[in-house]
Formats: sequence, C-alpha cells, structure tokens
Amino acid sequence: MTTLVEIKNLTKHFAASRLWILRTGQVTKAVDDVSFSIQEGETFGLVGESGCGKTTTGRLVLRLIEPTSGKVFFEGQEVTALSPSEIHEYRKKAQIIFQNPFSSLNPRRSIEDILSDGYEIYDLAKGTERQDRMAALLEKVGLGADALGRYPHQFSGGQRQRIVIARALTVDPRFIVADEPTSALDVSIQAQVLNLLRELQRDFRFTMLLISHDLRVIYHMSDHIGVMYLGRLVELAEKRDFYSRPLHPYTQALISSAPAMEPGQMGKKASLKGEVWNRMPPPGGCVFYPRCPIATAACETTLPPFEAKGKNHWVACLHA
Amino acid sequence: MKLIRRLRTNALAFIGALAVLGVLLMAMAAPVIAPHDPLEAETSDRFLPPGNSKYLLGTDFLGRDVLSRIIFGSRISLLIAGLSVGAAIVLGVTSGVIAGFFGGWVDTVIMRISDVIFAIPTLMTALGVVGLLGRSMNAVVVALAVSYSPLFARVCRSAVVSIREMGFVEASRAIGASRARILAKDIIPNILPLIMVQATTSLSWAILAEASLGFLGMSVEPPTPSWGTMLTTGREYFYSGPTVPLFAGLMTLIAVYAFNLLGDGLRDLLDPRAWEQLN
Amino acid sequence: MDPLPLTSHDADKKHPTEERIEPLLQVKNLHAYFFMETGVLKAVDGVSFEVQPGEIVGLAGESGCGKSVTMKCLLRLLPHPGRIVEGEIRFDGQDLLSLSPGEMRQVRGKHMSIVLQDAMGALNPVITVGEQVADVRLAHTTDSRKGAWEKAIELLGNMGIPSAEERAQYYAHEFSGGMQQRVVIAAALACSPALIIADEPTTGLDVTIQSQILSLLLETREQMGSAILYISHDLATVVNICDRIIIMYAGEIVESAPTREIITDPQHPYTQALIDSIPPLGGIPREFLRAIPGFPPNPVDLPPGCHFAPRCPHAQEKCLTRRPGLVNCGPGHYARCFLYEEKTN
Repeated sequence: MTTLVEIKNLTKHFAASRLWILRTGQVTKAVDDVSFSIQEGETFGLVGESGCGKTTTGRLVLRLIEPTSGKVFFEGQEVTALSPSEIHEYRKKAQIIFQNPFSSLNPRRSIEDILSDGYEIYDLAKGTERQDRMAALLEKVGLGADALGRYPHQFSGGQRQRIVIARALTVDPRFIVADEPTSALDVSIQAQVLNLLRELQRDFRFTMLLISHDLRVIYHMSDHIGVMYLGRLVELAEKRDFYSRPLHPYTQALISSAPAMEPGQMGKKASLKGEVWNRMPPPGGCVFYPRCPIATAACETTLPPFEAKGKNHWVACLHA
Repeated sequence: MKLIRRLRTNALAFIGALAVLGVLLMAMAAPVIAPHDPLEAETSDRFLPPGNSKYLLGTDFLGRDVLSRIIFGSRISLLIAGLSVGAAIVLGVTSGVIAGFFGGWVDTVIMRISDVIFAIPTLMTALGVVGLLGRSMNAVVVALAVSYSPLFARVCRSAVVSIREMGFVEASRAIGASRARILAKDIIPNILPLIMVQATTSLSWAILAEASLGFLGMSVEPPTPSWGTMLTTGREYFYSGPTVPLFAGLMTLIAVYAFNLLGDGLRDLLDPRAWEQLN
Repeated sequence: MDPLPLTSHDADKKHPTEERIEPLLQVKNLHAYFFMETGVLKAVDGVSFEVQPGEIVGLAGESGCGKSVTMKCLLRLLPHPGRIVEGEIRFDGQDLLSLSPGEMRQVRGKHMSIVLQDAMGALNPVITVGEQVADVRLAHTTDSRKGAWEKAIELLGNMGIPSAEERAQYYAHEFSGGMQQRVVIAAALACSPALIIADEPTTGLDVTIQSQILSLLLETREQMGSAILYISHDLATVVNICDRIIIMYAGEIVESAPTREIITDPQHPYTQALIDSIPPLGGIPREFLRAIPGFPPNPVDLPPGCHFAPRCPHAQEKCLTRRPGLVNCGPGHYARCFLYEEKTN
C-alpha cells in the first residue's frame, strides 16, 4: 500500500475580523496541527461535529484555501509549495464533491455545459468523442444521456448529486474529497448514492477522503477513520478498531450517542455535558477538557500529544 | 394566487413591451410617418389649434407641425436614453463586477468613487458636463452615463459578491476553471437578469432626465426637436398655443411609463425564478 | 377505508395507560390535497391513527411522504393552496376541524404545542427568551406577569439551561443551537400541554446534542405525562424514543406497530427496505447497502394501485391496479400490503 496523500501539521487560523484595524489578535483555530496519511485506493473517513474543522481540512488538502502553516503531499509532491500553473495540473488529479446538490450546479447552465468544463479546461476531448464520454459517464452514474440537454432545476436532489459526481469524474481524478455527499439526501437515496460511490471507486480506482458528521456513513464507507474535535485530530484508527476499541472519550461519546436501531436505548448512555459552542477550551490544554468525563487537572494545562497506542491506532489523550 | 400574479405581470410586461415597441417604431419610422418636416416653419400658420386636416396636433410659435416635431423628438429622446444607458451599463457593470469579484482595496476604491458620483444629483452632474462640453447631445449622453453608472456598479457588485459564495463557483474553481472562465460562465449569466431590469428602469429615467434637461435649456440646441425643449418653449407660449407642451409632456409620460411597465414586468418574470432556482 | 384503532400494547412503556379510555388524539381518514396549477397534489391520502395520553408515537418517513403536512393539518395551519378535503381530527374528544380560528388558538400552545426543527427561526430575535416562555403562560393562563416570569425561569431550569434566572434575560442568538431548542421546548411545555408535536426537533443538531434533547423529551413524558407525536425522517432517533411507530409513504400509512415489533419484524416491504438502507454501525461490514431502486412517486400523479408497487421487490400484478388496505398482521401491528391479506386468509 503506497501513501497517496500525506498531511503534516496542517493548520488554518481565521482572524476574528477581516479588517486589520479591528483585529484583536483573537483567532479561530479551525484546523490545528493535523497530521495523517491516506493510502492509495482506500477510503479515509473524517468525522466530527459542527466546528470540528473537517470541511476546512478537505478544502486545505485541495488547496482551495491556503493553510496558515503545515504541508500537504500528493504522490510525493508538496502541494502546499506548488506554483499556480502546477496547481492547475493538481486539480485534474484531485477533485471534490460537495454537500449541497442544490447550490453546486449553476442553474443557468445546461448539464452538457457543466460537464464539458473538465474536457475544455484540460483539453481532454472534443466534439463527438466528448459527447460520447459524457453520455457514458451519465450512464455510469445512473442517469440517461438525455440529461445533457436539461437544466439542474429539472432534477431531484439525488439526481443532482449524481451529476455532481459525474462532473468530478470527467477529469478521471486519482483522488476525490467527498464533503458530506449525502447529508442533504433522504436515507433511501443516500443508500443509492453511497452504493454508487462504492461502485465507481471500484471501477475508476480513485482514493477517497470522505467527510461527514454521520458516524454510520463514515463507518460503513471508510477503511480508516479520523475523529476531529475543535480543529484537532483526536483519534485515528482502522475501521474495526475504531468501533471495538475507541480510546478517546470523545470518540466513545460519539459512538454511544449515535442512535442505535434498538428501542429503549435512551437514558442508558453517557450523555456529554454541555456543547461545543459555549465552552471555549482553555489555551494550552486539551480541547476536549470542558466536556470530558475523565478529565483531570493535568488535562487543563497540557496539550496531549497524538501518539500511537496500537497498530495503526493513534490517540491524543493523556488518559487513553 | 400564483396564476393571477403571473398573468398580471405578464400582462404588465406585455403592455409595457407593446408600448415600448410602439415608441421605438415611431422613432425609427419618423421620416416616413411624419406628415411634415419638423424644422419647416410656416409663419403664416402659427399657433394653429389641433384638429385641422393639415396639422393634426396644431402648430407651434414658428408655425412648425407639432405632430412631426413630437415624432422626430422621440428620436432624440430614445437615442439619448439608449446611448447614455448603454454607456452606463458598460462603465457600471465593468466596475461593479471587478469590484465584486476581486474585493479588497479594489472593491473599496471603486465603490467609494461610485458613491461620490452617486451622491451628486443627476441635474448637477449634467450642469457640470454641459458647462464643459456645451449644449449638445453628446453632453447629455455623457452626463447621464456618468450619473447612472454607479447604480449599475452597485447592483452588479452586490450580486457578484453573493454569487461568488455559491457552491457552483467553488465547484468551477475546484475543477480548475480560470477566473475569466468563472466570470464568463458562472457569474455574468447570473447577473444578466438584474442588469436587464435595471436597464429598463434606467431608460425610463433617462427619457425623463432628457426632458428635464431640455426644459432647463441644457439639452440639444434649437431648432432640433426634443420633448424637453418643446416643453420649455411651449411654456413660454403656453397661453397662445398650449398644445406643444401638452403633447410633449404626454409623450414623455407615455414613454417613461412604457419602459417602467416593461421593467416591472421583467423583474417579476425573471428575478424570483432565478433566485428560487439558486435556492 | 382502514380499520381504525391502532393502539399499542407496548409493555416496555414506563407510563402504563389504563384500560382503553378515550384516545387523546384521533385522526380518521384524513385527506389533504394541494390544488395547484399543474394538478392536484395529494399530500395526505387517507391517514388514520391515534395517540393515547402519555404515549410517544413516531411518524416516520422520507421527504414527500406527507408527515409534515399531516402535522400542519392537526394544527390547522395548512398553507394555501392546501385544503383538508375529507377526514376527522378529534383531540380530547373535541372535533378540531369544526373549531373557529379563535377557539383553535386556545388549543394551540395550551393543550397542543409544537417544537419545530429550526429553533432559531421559532424564536423572536428581539425579545428575551424568558419573555417568550412567559408569553405562552400569559396568553393561556391567568398568571400575573411576575408569576409567568417565575414559571418561565423554572421551565428553563428544568430544561437544563444553567443559571436560568440570569440566562432568561438573554436573547435567542446568544444561545447555541441545542440551547435554543431547549428554550423552544420550554415554551412548548409552559402550559403543560397534553400533546406535544415535535417535527424534526433534532435534525441539524450535533449528534451528541441530539441525544441530550431526546433524553429531555423522554423526561418530559415521565414528569408531565404529555404525549408526544414525534415526526422525523431519521428512523434511528424515532426508534430510540418512541413507543409506537407509524411509517408513511407517498401520503399513506404503510405500517404501524410497537417499536420493538417494527424493528425486529417489519412487515411492509418499504419498511424493510428503509431499515436495510440505513448504514450499519458495527457488525460485519458490508460492501453495498440494500438501496431501494427508483424514486418516490410524484404526488400529483400517484400510481393507481399500491403507491410503493413500482419499487417493490415483491410486487405482483394486482399490486399495480388495486390499493391494499391496512391489515392486522400481529398484536397492534398493521401493514398495508397484499402479502398479509394472503397470510391471514
């Protein structure tokens, strides 16, 4: 297994105000010193709740946003050091699928026009060859070639998401970031789209970084799972280890909060106190300290290192 | 409810479109349909009342046919309105889109300049320009173009700023589209309806503005007929021959209202659907 | 026409109901249609169910199934061009559909209250949260201003809002999503209603907050004895909190049973498929999920027979032309499918 993507100490800070006069020095650490690697051909799942930084991480890996510090490597090449023309080439190999099928397609462009972007920008195919390829792709994602002449508003959410997937595939990428690809869809449509992604991954052989807040989706689709909380990566494990032996208290809470398909489960679980929003973590300490059920005095002042606690199992916790 | 609304706006746009078309045709066919030469003065036929067989709407203080002058006057009004709004669109849309797309200090500089121009009333700008360039059609066109471009700039800039944040723009970036491509394929097509609506509204203002400027003596020089100048000279001789200002004013009213109706109708037809789709 | 009583015999329920007393809410053969330019949209097409006092009933289904429209019918807040064309809604013995708007306003907030998905949207941004909760009491009870305010603080405290006395003076935007939802629930409980209708109350909230809110709702039932009609597309949360579940598809009820029954032994093919399409957590990893092929039918153009037949793996010829009725296929268990008509015959 070769490493396709490597992320080292990736950090992104957002200043509180854009106007430099009003900047008080307060920053939001959207992504804070995150490191992990993605193997070729696998699906890596990044899970966490609102504000954890997973979406930002996805954008950083593709350099749709510039990192504050840290490096990203793709196929051994440093993405974070690429020149604009090199980034252009990178975009052909690394694509993204967005969450909202309603706003990610331009309502004024026909499907044919939207899909032809990739072919035009990278000069991949023209004329009838392009038409054939687009039709074949549409067929592959479960839509007919007659979709080409239509406009986005004529399709349902699930169908639009298929178009979004087809668009990403027009350039035959090696790596796809799927940012909450099914969060806006009904459960039965979600199943269709997840199956589609699995099938396409098998046929087109791309590596996927799947980002979602839905633990079930992440667990079902991923080979490795990373858990993020308030900008930090708190745990990383293989799928099975993740479920059978979660080490970080946040991961444990996440797993036990995910509603099980069993009646009468409520009240038997350890509910986390408080919320992300109104409890800022202490500077210098563990980000999870305010809500952690096993926190001690040390946790308030010491930033736990991200260490290996087993084969391919990493945790950032003083008490794991 | 929706049905009634759609019919009503369609009817509005329809009536507006018809009226606009009528005025346009009148302007274009002026040499053909005008019964007399608008500049031909028949001093023996001064101040004739309307309703006689030779001069349908009567004559003015120099014995010139009012109807012909009104018909030819439409040319001036529409030409000035068209040219000035056209220039305003070019200037305003370009600066607005650049400001919205690039943001930062470019945005700030462009918008503050446009704010300053916007703050000066149209008539004052016209005064300044006419003072510089003298009384002529060019002067009026330049004055109105300068006055109206901030509006286009502002409308386009805010539209671009909100479209810039939309998912499909990020998607285009992600697939490697150049900024030019994003502008051409994603941004401009989505602001076109806004520009169209603003354009029709501005056209109606421009017609009115030309009439006002003409009335103040800042538009074309006599003897060229324009509705505005006809209002001025007509005012002087109001008690002898009220038909001149009456019909000039009436035509102005009709033309302004026609463009307004068209603009309103277009707004209802185009905007909600476009934004509904984006939601 | 459906057989009417859909009662539950769920032994797991903590709040025992006595022998069959008058159900709190009775919906009989409800039909709600939207009259649009393009045609008649049959959002709710023959729905009947009951809610007993103190019971938590789940109304589950995907988007477009009619569950939200049903809720709006109950509250008589159906927007134009929708109309209730047929059916009866009885609440606490009263015929809701015959009440005047003023009388209906007496019911809403006092005997029947709602908790909706968007908490921020439900709260007035320019009034403090304490005032909003107090307002509900002032509107429906004889409380004095002071009394209402004190009651509001008590409710907010019960909902787990720390330092309630101080926090009651804050505004909605100063709270997080989960806290806002607690305020909304506090307002919903202000007059101790017999029935709380919750429409996707936890959708959009973080999953750790979700479980807090669900626990809160359960506690409410324990302490106040309110019944809850819990409407959601998220079957897993519905299963977690409800005594009994009703599954809707394309405007009708396709299955109804006590929670345990529906999970261990779902009878309707749609329910089975729905449960199977939820990605499993833990257990043996599967490569593919069992997805239902196709899309839900267009409510303006519903198929003549069973609404689910075009997508059903067990569909027979008669399913395409005749609509099955709800058939009893177990204790308190009903399914709308010809498969069970055969079994019971």
